[in-house]
Amino acid sequence: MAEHYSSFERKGSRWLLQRVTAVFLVGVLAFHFLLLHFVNHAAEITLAGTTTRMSSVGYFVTMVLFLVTATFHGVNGVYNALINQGIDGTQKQAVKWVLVAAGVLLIAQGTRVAVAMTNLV
Amino acid sequence: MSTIEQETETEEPTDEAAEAAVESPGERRRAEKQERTRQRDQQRVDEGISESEETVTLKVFRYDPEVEGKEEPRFDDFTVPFHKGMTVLDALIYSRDHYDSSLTFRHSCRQAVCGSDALFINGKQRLACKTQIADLDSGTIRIEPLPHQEVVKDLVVDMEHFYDQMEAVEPYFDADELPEDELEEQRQDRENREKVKMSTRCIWCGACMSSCNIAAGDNEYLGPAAINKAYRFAMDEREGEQRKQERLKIIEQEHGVWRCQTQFSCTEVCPKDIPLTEHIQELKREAVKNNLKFW
Repeated sequence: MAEHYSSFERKGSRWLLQRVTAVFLVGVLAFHFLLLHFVNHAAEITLAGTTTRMSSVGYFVTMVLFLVTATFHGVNGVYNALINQGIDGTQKQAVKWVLVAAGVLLIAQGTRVAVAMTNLV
Repeated sequence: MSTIEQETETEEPTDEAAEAAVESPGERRRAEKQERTRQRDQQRVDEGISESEETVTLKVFRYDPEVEGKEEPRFDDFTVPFHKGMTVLDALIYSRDHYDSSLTFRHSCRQAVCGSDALFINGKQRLACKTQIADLDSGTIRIEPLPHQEVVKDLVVDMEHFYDQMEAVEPYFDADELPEDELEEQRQDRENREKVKMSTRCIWCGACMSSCNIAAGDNEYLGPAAINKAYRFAMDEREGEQRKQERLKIIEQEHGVWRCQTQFSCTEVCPKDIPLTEHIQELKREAVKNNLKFW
Protein backbone atom coordinates (compact mmCIF):
# COMPACT_ATOMS: atom_id res chain seq x y z
CA MET A 1 0.00 0.00 0.00
CA ALA A 2 2.96 2.28 -0.59
CA GLU A 3 0.96 4.56 -2.85
CA HIS A 4 -1.52 5.43 -0.10
CA TYR A 5 0.76 7.20 2.36
CA SER A 6 -0.67 10.67 1.86
CA SER A 7 -3.80 11.39 3.84
CA PHE A 8 -5.28 13.99 1.53
CA GLU A 9 -4.07 12.89 -1.85
CA ARG A 10 -7.41 11.60 -2.99
CA LYS A 11 -10.75 13.39 -2.75
CA GLY A 12 -13.08 13.10 0.16
CA SER A 13 -11.48 15.34 2.76
CA ARG A 14 -13.63 18.35 1.91
CA TRP A 15 -16.73 16.18 1.93
CA LEU A 16 -15.86 14.87 5.39
CA LEU A 17 -14.96 18.35 6.72
CA GLN A 18 -18.28 19.70 5.44
CA ARG A 19 -20.06 17.14 7.62
CA VAL A 20 -17.80 17.58 10.65
CA THR A 21 -18.23 21.37 10.55
CA ALA A 22 -22.00 20.91 10.22
CA VAL A 23 -22.07 18.91 13.44
CA PHE A 24 -19.94 21.51 15.22
CA LEU A 25 -22.12 24.38 13.96
CA VAL A 26 -25.33 22.71 15.11
CA GLY A 27 -23.79 22.10 18.54
CA VAL A 28 -22.55 25.67 18.99
CA LEU A 29 -25.83 27.12 17.69
CA ALA A 30 -27.69 25.03 20.26
CA PHE A 31 -25.31 26.33 22.94
CA HIS A 32 -25.94 29.91 21.77
CA PHE A 33 -29.72 29.54 21.89
CA LEU A 34 -29.70 27.86 25.27
CA LEU A 35 -27.39 30.41 26.84
CA LEU A 36 -28.68 33.64 25.35
CA HIS A 37 -32.36 32.93 24.71
CA PHE A 38 -33.37 30.51 27.45
CA VAL A 39 -30.91 30.62 30.40
CA ASN A 40 -30.00 34.32 30.28
CA HIS A 41 -32.58 36.07 28.21
CA ALA A 42 -31.45 39.69 28.65
CA ALA A 43 -34.21 42.31 28.56
CA GLU A 44 -31.76 44.71 27.02
CA ILE A 45 -28.75 43.79 24.94
CA THR A 46 -25.71 45.86 25.80
CA LEU A 47 -22.13 46.06 24.53
CA ALA A 48 -20.96 45.60 28.11
CA GLY A 49 -22.67 42.20 28.27
CA THR A 50 -21.06 41.15 24.98
CA THR A 51 -17.65 42.34 26.16
CA THR A 52 -17.97 40.39 29.41
CA ARG A 53 -18.80 37.17 27.56
CA MET A 54 -16.16 37.64 24.87
CA SER A 55 -13.48 38.37 27.45
CA SER A 56 -13.80 34.84 28.76
CA VAL A 57 -11.11 32.87 26.89
CA GLY A 58 -13.23 29.73 26.43
CA TYR A 59 -16.16 31.70 24.99
CA PHE A 60 -13.84 33.72 22.73
CA VAL A 61 -12.17 30.59 21.36
CA THR A 62 -15.59 28.96 20.75
CA MET A 63 -16.79 32.01 18.83
CA VAL A 64 -13.65 32.23 16.69
CA LEU A 65 -13.90 28.50 15.95
CA PHE A 66 -17.53 29.04 15.02
CA LEU A 67 -16.45 31.82 12.66
CA VAL A 68 -13.84 29.62 10.97
CA THR A 69 -16.07 26.55 10.66
CA ALA A 70 -19.07 28.57 9.49
CA THR A 71 -16.93 30.28 6.85
CA PHE A 72 -15.56 26.97 5.59
CA HIS A 73 -18.99 25.35 5.63
CA GLY A 74 -20.60 28.23 3.74
CA VAL A 75 -17.86 28.82 1.20
CA ASN A 76 -17.34 25.11 0.51
CA GLY A 77 -21.10 24.70 0.18
CA VAL A 78 -21.34 27.42 -2.45
CA TYR A 79 -18.32 25.97 -4.30
CA ASN A 80 -19.89 22.51 -4.39
CA ALA A 81 -23.28 23.84 -5.45
CA LEU A 82 -21.55 25.52 -8.40
CA ILE A 83 -19.64 22.35 -9.30
CA ASN A 84 -22.97 20.52 -9.25
CA GLN A 85 -24.07 22.98 -11.90
CA GLY A 86 -21.25 21.67 -14.05
CA ILE A 87 -18.74 24.55 -14.01
CA ASP A 88 -15.35 23.58 -15.31
CA GLY A 89 -11.92 24.88 -16.38
CA THR A 90 -11.25 28.62 -16.04
CA GLN A 91 -14.69 29.25 -14.58
CA LYS A 92 -14.03 26.71 -11.86
CA GLN A 93 -10.61 28.15 -11.05
CA ALA A 94 -12.02 31.68 -10.92
CA VAL A 95 -14.85 30.65 -8.61
CA LYS A 96 -12.44 28.72 -6.41
CA TRP A 97 -10.05 31.63 -5.86
CA VAL A 98 -12.79 34.22 -5.43
CA LEU A 99 -14.32 32.02 -2.75
CA VAL A 100 -10.95 31.43 -1.08
CA ALA A 101 -10.39 35.21 -1.00
CA ALA A 102 -13.90 35.75 0.36
CA GLY A 103 -13.26 33.15 3.05
CA VAL A 104 -9.99 34.69 4.12
CA LEU A 105 -11.55 38.17 4.21
CA LEU A 106 -14.49 36.93 6.28
CA ILE A 107 -12.25 35.27 8.81
CA ALA A 108 -9.92 38.28 9.02
CA GLN A 109 -12.72 40.79 9.49
CA GLY A 110 -14.58 38.46 11.87
CA THR A 111 -11.50 38.00 14.04
CA ARG A 112 -10.92 41.78 14.06
CA VAL A 113 -14.48 42.38 15.28
CA ALA A 114 -14.22 39.58 17.85
CA VAL A 115 -11.01 41.04 19.26
CA ALA A 116 -12.57 44.50 19.39
CA MET A 117 -15.37 43.10 21.55
CA THR A 118 -13.01 41.90 24.26
CA ASN A 119 -10.81 43.35 26.96
CA LEU A 120 -8.21 40.73 26.15
CA VAL A 121 -5.91 42.92 24.04
CA MET B 1 -67.96 -15.28 -37.31
CA SER B 2 -69.68 -15.69 -40.64
CA THR B 3 -66.79 -14.11 -42.51
CA ILE B 4 -64.33 -16.51 -40.90
CA GLU B 5 -66.46 -19.50 -41.87
CA GLN B 6 -66.59 -18.23 -45.39
CA GLU B 7 -62.85 -17.82 -45.47
CA THR B 8 -62.24 -21.36 -44.32
CA GLU B 9 -64.63 -22.59 -46.94
CA THR B 10 -62.93 -20.70 -49.69
CA GLU B 11 -59.51 -21.60 -48.39
CA GLU B 12 -59.95 -25.33 -48.54
CA PRO B 13 -59.65 -25.70 -52.30
CA THR B 14 -56.54 -23.49 -52.43
CA ASP B 15 -54.94 -25.58 -49.67
CA GLU B 16 -55.61 -28.71 -51.64
CA ALA B 17 -54.14 -27.14 -54.73
CA ALA B 18 -51.04 -26.13 -52.80
CA GLU B 19 -50.66 -29.62 -51.39
CA ALA B 20 -50.88 -30.96 -54.86
CA ALA B 21 -47.92 -28.77 -55.84
CA VAL B 22 -45.87 -30.32 -52.95
CA GLU B 23 -46.00 -27.53 -50.38
CA SER B 24 -43.06 -27.46 -47.98
CA PRO B 25 -43.77 -27.21 -44.22
CA GLY B 26 -42.19 -23.73 -44.19
CA GLU B 27 -44.48 -22.46 -46.90
CA ARG B 28 -47.49 -23.91 -45.11
CA ARG B 29 -46.51 -22.18 -41.86
CA ARG B 30 -45.97 -18.86 -43.61
CA ALA B 31 -49.34 -19.13 -45.31
CA GLU B 32 -51.03 -19.90 -41.99
CA LYS B 33 -49.27 -17.00 -40.33
CA GLN B 34 -50.33 -14.62 -43.08
CA GLU B 35 -53.88 -15.76 -42.64
CA ARG B 36 -53.77 -15.24 -38.88
CA THR B 37 -52.33 -11.75 -39.35
CA ARG B 38 -55.06 -10.89 -41.82
CA GLN B 39 -57.76 -12.10 -39.44
CA ARG B 40 -56.25 -10.17 -36.54
CA ASP B 41 -56.09 -6.97 -38.59
CA GLN B 42 -59.71 -7.44 -39.56
CA GLN B 43 -60.64 -8.01 -35.92
CA ARG B 44 -58.90 -4.74 -34.96
CA VAL B 45 -60.88 -2.80 -37.52
CA ASP B 46 -64.13 -4.40 -36.34
CA GLU B 47 -63.35 -3.61 -32.71
CA GLY B 48 -64.77 -0.17 -32.23
CA ILE B 49 -64.91 1.47 -28.84
CA SER B 50 -68.49 1.00 -27.75
CA GLU B 51 -70.04 3.89 -25.84
CA SER B 52 -70.59 1.89 -22.69
CA GLU B 53 -66.91 0.91 -22.49
CA GLU B 54 -64.63 2.50 -19.91
CA THR B 55 -61.83 4.47 -21.55
CA VAL B 56 -58.67 6.33 -20.63
CA THR B 57 -57.12 9.24 -22.43
CA LEU B 58 -53.41 9.33 -23.12
CA LYS B 59 -51.66 12.61 -23.73
CA VAL B 60 -48.54 11.55 -25.56
CA PHE B 61 -45.50 13.66 -26.39
CA ARG B 62 -44.80 13.70 -30.14
CA TYR B 63 -41.69 14.98 -31.86
CA ASP B 64 -39.71 13.98 -34.91
CA PRO B 65 -37.12 16.36 -36.31
CA GLU B 66 -37.07 14.45 -39.59
CA VAL B 67 -40.76 14.63 -40.38
CA GLU B 68 -42.48 17.74 -41.62
CA GLY B 69 -45.24 18.79 -39.25
CA LYS B 70 -43.69 16.96 -36.31
CA GLU B 71 -40.62 19.17 -35.91
CA GLU B 72 -42.40 21.23 -33.28
CA PRO B 73 -42.96 19.14 -30.14
CA ARG B 74 -46.64 18.64 -29.35
CA PHE B 75 -49.00 16.36 -27.42
CA ASP B 76 -51.44 13.97 -29.12
CA ASP B 77 -54.51 12.59 -27.38
CA PHE B 78 -55.48 8.93 -27.73
CA THR B 79 -58.62 7.41 -26.24
CA VAL B 80 -58.08 3.80 -25.34
CA PRO B 81 -60.57 1.20 -23.99
CA PHE B 82 -59.63 0.29 -20.44
CA HIS B 83 -59.55 -3.24 -19.11
CA LYS B 84 -58.63 -4.54 -15.69
CA GLY B 85 -54.88 -5.01 -15.33
CA MET B 86 -54.07 -2.69 -18.21
CA THR B 87 -50.65 -1.06 -18.04
CA VAL B 88 -49.51 2.19 -19.60
CA LEU B 89 -47.48 0.15 -22.08
CA ASP B 90 -50.62 -1.80 -23.10
CA ALA B 91 -52.36 1.51 -23.73
CA LEU B 92 -49.44 2.81 -25.79
CA ILE B 93 -49.35 -0.37 -27.85
CA TYR B 94 -53.11 -0.07 -28.41
CA SER B 95 -52.68 3.53 -29.55
CA ARG B 96 -49.91 2.60 -31.95
CA ASP B 97 -51.78 -0.38 -33.39
CA HIS B 98 -55.15 1.35 -33.75
CA TYR B 99 -54.49 5.05 -34.30
CA ASP B 100 -51.00 5.96 -35.37
CA SER B 101 -48.43 3.39 -36.44
CA SER B 102 -45.72 6.07 -36.38
CA LEU B 103 -45.99 6.45 -32.58
CA THR B 104 -42.53 5.43 -31.43
CA PHE B 105 -41.45 4.03 -28.06
CA ARG B 106 -39.06 1.35 -26.85
CA HIS B 107 -40.40 -1.81 -25.28
CA SER B 108 -39.45 -5.44 -25.19
CA CYS B 109 -40.11 -7.88 -22.35
CA ARG B 110 -43.26 -6.25 -20.87
CA GLN B 111 -42.35 -7.56 -17.42
CA ALA B 112 -40.00 -4.97 -15.90
CA VAL B 113 -36.86 -6.90 -16.73
CA CYS B 114 -35.42 -5.40 -19.91
CA GLY B 115 -35.52 -1.75 -18.82
CA SER B 116 -36.47 -0.43 -22.27
CA ASP B 117 -39.66 1.46 -21.46
CA ALA B 118 -38.75 3.93 -18.72
CA LEU B 119 -40.93 6.97 -19.44
CA PHE B 120 -42.02 10.16 -17.72
CA ILE B 121 -45.59 9.23 -16.81
CA ASN B 122 -47.71 11.80 -15.00
CA GLY B 123 -44.59 13.70 -13.96
CA LYS B 124 -42.60 10.77 -12.62
CA GLN B 125 -40.07 8.36 -14.10
CA ARG B 126 -41.73 4.93 -14.29
CA LEU B 127 -41.61 1.74 -16.34
CA ALA B 128 -44.63 1.81 -18.64
CA CYS B 129 -45.00 -1.98 -18.42
CA LYS B 130 -45.05 -1.92 -14.62
CA THR B 131 -47.42 1.03 -14.22
CA GLN B 132 -51.03 0.01 -13.78
CA ILE B 133 -53.43 2.55 -15.24
CA ALA B 134 -55.79 1.85 -12.33
CA ASP B 135 -53.08 3.08 -9.93
CA LEU B 136 -52.75 6.46 -11.64
CA ASP B 137 -55.06 8.99 -10.05
CA SER B 138 -55.76 11.29 -12.96
CA GLY B 139 -58.21 10.52 -15.77
CA THR B 140 -55.76 11.68 -18.41
CA ILE B 141 -52.35 10.04 -18.50
CA ARG B 142 -49.54 12.30 -19.61
CA ILE B 143 -46.67 10.38 -21.20
CA GLU B 144 -43.38 12.06 -22.02
CA PRO B 145 -39.85 10.86 -22.82
CA LEU B 146 -37.33 10.72 -19.94
CA PRO B 147 -36.25 14.24 -18.99
CA HIS B 148 -32.62 15.42 -19.19
CA GLN B 149 -31.85 13.27 -22.22
CA GLU B 150 -32.02 14.23 -25.85
CA VAL B 151 -35.21 13.13 -27.59
CA VAL B 152 -34.60 11.15 -30.76
CA LYS B 153 -38.25 10.68 -31.72
CA ASP B 154 -41.55 10.72 -29.80
CA LEU B 155 -40.82 8.81 -26.56
CA VAL B 156 -37.38 7.56 -27.55
CA VAL B 157 -34.39 9.26 -25.91
CA ASP B 158 -30.68 9.00 -26.63
CA MET B 159 -29.21 6.63 -24.01
CA GLU B 160 -25.61 6.93 -25.21
CA HIS B 161 -24.44 9.16 -22.35
CA PHE B 162 -26.07 6.87 -19.78
CA TYR B 163 -24.29 3.84 -21.22
CA ASP B 164 -20.98 5.74 -21.29
CA GLN B 165 -21.33 6.46 -17.58
CA MET B 166 -22.21 2.83 -16.88
CA GLU B 167 -19.15 1.63 -18.75
CA ALA B 168 -16.91 4.15 -16.96
CA VAL B 169 -17.17 2.15 -13.74
CA GLU B 170 -16.06 -1.08 -15.43
CA PRO B 171 -19.24 -3.03 -14.68
CA TYR B 172 -17.95 -6.57 -14.84
CA PHE B 173 -16.65 -9.11 -12.35
CA ASP B 174 -12.87 -9.09 -12.36
CA ALA B 175 -11.20 -11.00 -9.53
CA ASP B 176 -7.56 -10.43 -8.51
CA GLU B 177 -6.95 -14.13 -8.31
CA LEU B 178 -8.67 -16.95 -10.11
CA PRO B 179 -8.96 -20.43 -8.61
CA GLU B 180 -6.22 -22.77 -9.70
CA ASP B 181 -8.58 -25.33 -11.11
CA GLU B 182 -10.47 -23.59 -13.87
CA LEU B 183 -13.57 -25.66 -13.15
CA GLU B 184 -13.67 -24.57 -9.52
CA GLU B 185 -16.54 -22.22 -8.67
CA GLN B 186 -15.90 -18.76 -7.26
CA ARG B 187 -18.24 -18.96 -4.33
CA GLN B 188 -19.59 -15.97 -2.49
CA ASP B 189 -20.63 -16.30 1.12
CA ARG B 190 -24.27 -15.66 1.94
CA GLU B 191 -23.70 -12.48 3.93
CA ASN B 192 -21.76 -10.89 1.12
CA ARG B 193 -24.41 -11.94 -1.37
CA GLU B 194 -27.09 -10.28 0.78
CA LYS B 195 -25.01 -7.09 0.86
CA VAL B 196 -24.85 -6.75 -2.91
CA LYS B 197 -28.20 -8.39 -3.65
CA MET B 198 -30.28 -5.25 -4.20
CA SER B 199 -27.57 -3.59 -6.26
CA THR B 200 -27.55 -6.51 -8.71
CA ARG B 201 -31.18 -5.84 -9.62
CA CYS B 202 -30.41 -2.85 -11.84
CA ILE B 203 -31.97 -3.17 -15.30
CA TRP B 204 -30.23 -0.13 -16.84
CA CYS B 205 -33.51 1.68 -17.52
CA GLY B 206 -32.07 5.12 -16.77
CA ALA B 207 -34.99 6.31 -14.62
CA CYS B 208 -32.67 7.24 -11.73
CA MET B 209 -30.26 9.22 -13.87
CA SER B 210 -33.18 11.08 -15.43
CA SER B 211 -34.62 12.01 -12.03
CA CYS B 212 -31.30 13.25 -10.60
CA ASN B 213 -30.98 17.04 -10.43
CA ILE B 214 -27.21 16.91 -10.21
CA ALA B 215 -26.85 14.60 -13.21
CA ALA B 216 -29.09 17.03 -15.11
CA GLY B 217 -26.68 19.91 -14.63
CA ASP B 218 -23.38 18.07 -14.51
CA ASN B 219 -22.71 15.70 -17.39
CA GLU B 220 -19.52 14.41 -15.83
CA TYR B 221 -21.32 13.10 -12.75
CA LEU B 222 -21.36 9.30 -12.87
CA GLY B 223 -25.00 9.18 -11.79
CA PRO B 224 -26.86 6.80 -9.47
CA ALA B 225 -27.00 3.76 -11.77
CA ALA B 226 -23.28 3.76 -12.51
CA ILE B 227 -22.34 4.29 -8.87
CA ASN B 228 -24.69 1.47 -7.90
CA LYS B 229 -22.93 -0.73 -10.42
CA ALA B 230 -19.57 0.25 -8.92
CA TYR B 231 -20.98 -0.61 -5.48
CA ARG B 232 -22.05 -4.03 -6.69
CA PHE B 233 -18.48 -4.96 -7.60
CA ALA B 234 -16.53 -2.92 -5.01
CA MET B 235 -18.47 -4.67 -2.25
CA ASP B 236 -18.03 -8.13 -3.76
CA GLU B 237 -15.44 -9.77 -1.54
CA ARG B 238 -14.41 -12.26 -4.21
CA GLU B 239 -12.70 -9.57 -6.27
CA GLY B 240 -9.87 -8.87 -3.83
CA GLU B 241 -8.33 -5.78 -2.21
CA GLN B 242 -6.32 -4.56 -5.19
CA ARG B 243 -9.32 -4.50 -7.52
CA LYS B 244 -11.37 -2.74 -4.83
CA GLN B 245 -8.75 0.02 -4.61
CA GLU B 246 -8.92 0.47 -8.36
CA ARG B 247 -12.70 0.65 -8.21
CA LEU B 248 -12.61 3.17 -5.38
CA LYS B 249 -10.22 5.32 -7.41
CA ILE B 250 -12.89 5.62 -10.09
CA ILE B 251 -15.74 6.59 -7.80
CA GLU B 252 -13.64 8.91 -5.62
CA GLN B 253 -13.07 11.45 -8.37
CA GLU B 254 -14.60 14.88 -8.01
CA HIS B 255 -17.52 13.95 -10.27
CA GLY B 256 -17.93 10.53 -8.70
CA VAL B 257 -19.75 9.91 -5.43
CA TRP B 258 -19.17 13.39 -3.93
CA ARG B 259 -21.66 15.07 -6.23
CA CYS B 260 -24.61 13.18 -4.70
CA GLN B 261 -26.64 15.58 -2.57
CA THR B 262 -28.82 12.83 -1.05
CA GLN B 263 -32.06 14.07 -2.60
CA PHE B 264 -33.29 10.49 -2.81
CA SER B 265 -35.06 11.18 -6.12
CA CYS B 266 -33.25 8.22 -7.72
CA THR B 267 -34.29 5.88 -4.91
CA GLU B 268 -37.82 7.21 -5.20
CA VAL B 269 -38.20 6.37 -8.90
CA CYS B 270 -36.17 3.13 -9.13
CA PRO B 271 -38.57 0.47 -10.51
CA LYS B 272 -36.52 -2.28 -8.86
CA ASP B 273 -36.54 -0.55 -5.44
CA ILE B 274 -32.75 -0.42 -5.21
CA PRO B 275 -31.63 1.77 -2.27
CA LEU B 276 -29.43 3.84 -4.59
CA THR B 277 -28.79 6.80 -2.29
CA GLU B 278 -27.78 4.49 0.55
CA HIS B 279 -25.34 2.72 -1.74
CA ILE B 280 -23.80 6.01 -2.81
CA GLN B 281 -23.49 7.10 0.83
CA GLU B 282 -21.88 3.80 1.73
CA LEU B 283 -19.29 4.25 -0.98
CA LYS B 284 -18.58 7.78 0.32
CA ARG B 285 -17.97 6.34 3.79
CA GLU B 286 -15.82 3.61 2.29
CA ALA B 287 -13.74 6.19 0.42
CA VAL B 288 -13.29 8.37 3.50
CA LYS B 289 -12.30 5.40 5.64
CA ASN B 290 -9.91 4.32 2.94
CA ASN B 291 -8.20 7.67 2.43
CA LEU B 292 -8.15 9.70 5.57
CA LYS B 293 -5.32 8.22 7.55
CA PHE B 294 -3.92 10.69 10.03
CA TRP B 295 -0.91 8.61 10.99
